[in-house]
Amino acid sequence: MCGCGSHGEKLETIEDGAHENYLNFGFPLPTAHYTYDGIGNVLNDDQQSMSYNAFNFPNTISTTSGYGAEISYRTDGSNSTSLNDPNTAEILQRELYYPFGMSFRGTAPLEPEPDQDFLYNGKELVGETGLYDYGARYYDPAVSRWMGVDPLAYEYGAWSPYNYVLNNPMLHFDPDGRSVDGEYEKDEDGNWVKVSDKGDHIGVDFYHHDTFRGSGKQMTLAVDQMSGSYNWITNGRSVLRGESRQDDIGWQEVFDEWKFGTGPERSLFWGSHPSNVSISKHYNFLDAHDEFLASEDSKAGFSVNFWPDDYVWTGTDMQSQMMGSYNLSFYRLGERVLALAQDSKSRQSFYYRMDVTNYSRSEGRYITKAPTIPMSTGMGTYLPGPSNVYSLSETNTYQTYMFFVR
Amino acid sequence: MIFLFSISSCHVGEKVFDGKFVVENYDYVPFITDLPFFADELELFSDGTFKSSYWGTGDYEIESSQITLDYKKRGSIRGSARFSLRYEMGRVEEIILFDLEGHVYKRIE
Repeated sequence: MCGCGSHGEKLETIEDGAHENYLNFGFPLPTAHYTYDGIGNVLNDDQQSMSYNAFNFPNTISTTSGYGAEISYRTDGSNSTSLNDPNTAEILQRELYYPFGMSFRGTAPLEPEPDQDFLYNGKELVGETGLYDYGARYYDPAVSRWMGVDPLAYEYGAWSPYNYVLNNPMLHFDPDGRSVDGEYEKDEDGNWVKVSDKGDHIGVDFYHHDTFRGSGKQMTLAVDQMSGSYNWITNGRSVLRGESRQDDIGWQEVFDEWKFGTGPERSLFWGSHPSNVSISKHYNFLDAHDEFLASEDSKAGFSVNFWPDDYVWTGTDMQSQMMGSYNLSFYRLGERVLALAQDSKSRQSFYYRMDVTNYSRSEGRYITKAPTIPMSTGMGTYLPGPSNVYSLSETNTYQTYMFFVR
Repeated sequence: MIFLFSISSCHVGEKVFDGKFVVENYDYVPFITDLPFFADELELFSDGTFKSSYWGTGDYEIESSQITLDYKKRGSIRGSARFSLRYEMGRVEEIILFDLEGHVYKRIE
């Protein structure tokens, strides 16, 4: 299905004047051309002189219609369009929408109403069908459902394969009918390519820059889907390579995975995961958060140490005890604060300050002999000794806990 | 008497913070966000300022066993980072970034 209107107009390139750019500020780029694919996604974005919204859609673009008149599309907060005469600024066409895309005729249709089919979310309304073409699938705003099964349905096991943006169009956006929001990196041609849906867990889009401004730093732009506010995170790409964990994976499972060399090496715990709830209630966390809010910093990092005296106060808070010392970072995304707590389980974790060697999974130090004493799965009775030191895996695991602070 | 004079000239109780430090054990760092991932040199000056390839320049403040780096990077990023300190004989020897992985700034001067 091509992205052609009823008159055959198809947005292919853009030439515009200078505007403030959004995502890639600071990059010197050579041409004034923008290239789009048939469903309106930016393929080539070398100018960096336009303004973009949080979904990488341009706020203002122009093209030439099939009947020769120059028209402009101006996106609103939902990426939907209005049609403007660039010479007179007159609004030629405007449509308002309910969140799921039904037209809201709260204002009288403009007369004469031009035939322009790129409407809700900037997607093409296909003929008389009432369906929007998102590329991978058709969407029916009347029933708020896709007309086909999600090709990435296996990544959304808890959801109907026909659901639209997880039933929350105020928070999520589906750029092409395959999945909502996510994590992006640039391919060899410089185009943003979606590589995962991980950002969707907390309503943040992640854009990875391998070498930020030629510095060699790996930077990630984190964009709040609600406000479009952003912040920079160093090494975000590598962190997001971790495996997203389900809510029923708690501190005990994480500890056992470290001890027995099972489970993923890197884990990600998102949003309202019980571990995050526990972390966010601890006074060490709250003190750091209060201090951050009182500052004007856009980001801050803290070393949190529960050891040794805090054991007295953490009591039965086993999540805190399991984490012990960890790194805590706060990032402002507009009015919201994104928290990242990062911890690792290593031999150092349990031979605190002793001169021991940590082992990575790549070193293959899995169980080398059967344990000679029964091993408890509880931390409290874990007493490494000569008889079982080498029977355990004890290869490093890493945990990242990421959530917005309420 | 000479012995007592020697002790007093050592400024007993006065701690030494300034100096030059270099990052060790940064190989694991791809896991951790916003910490140096190369052999960064951090120089703490006696006037309370610092210089580093990673953090840029800014002010530092020490409270007991912790140091806070207030940095202003190029562009709009402004932030701070707080780490634990390890002393030897009243002198800061290590700035601990991530203890479990031995990721530290170690004094070289």
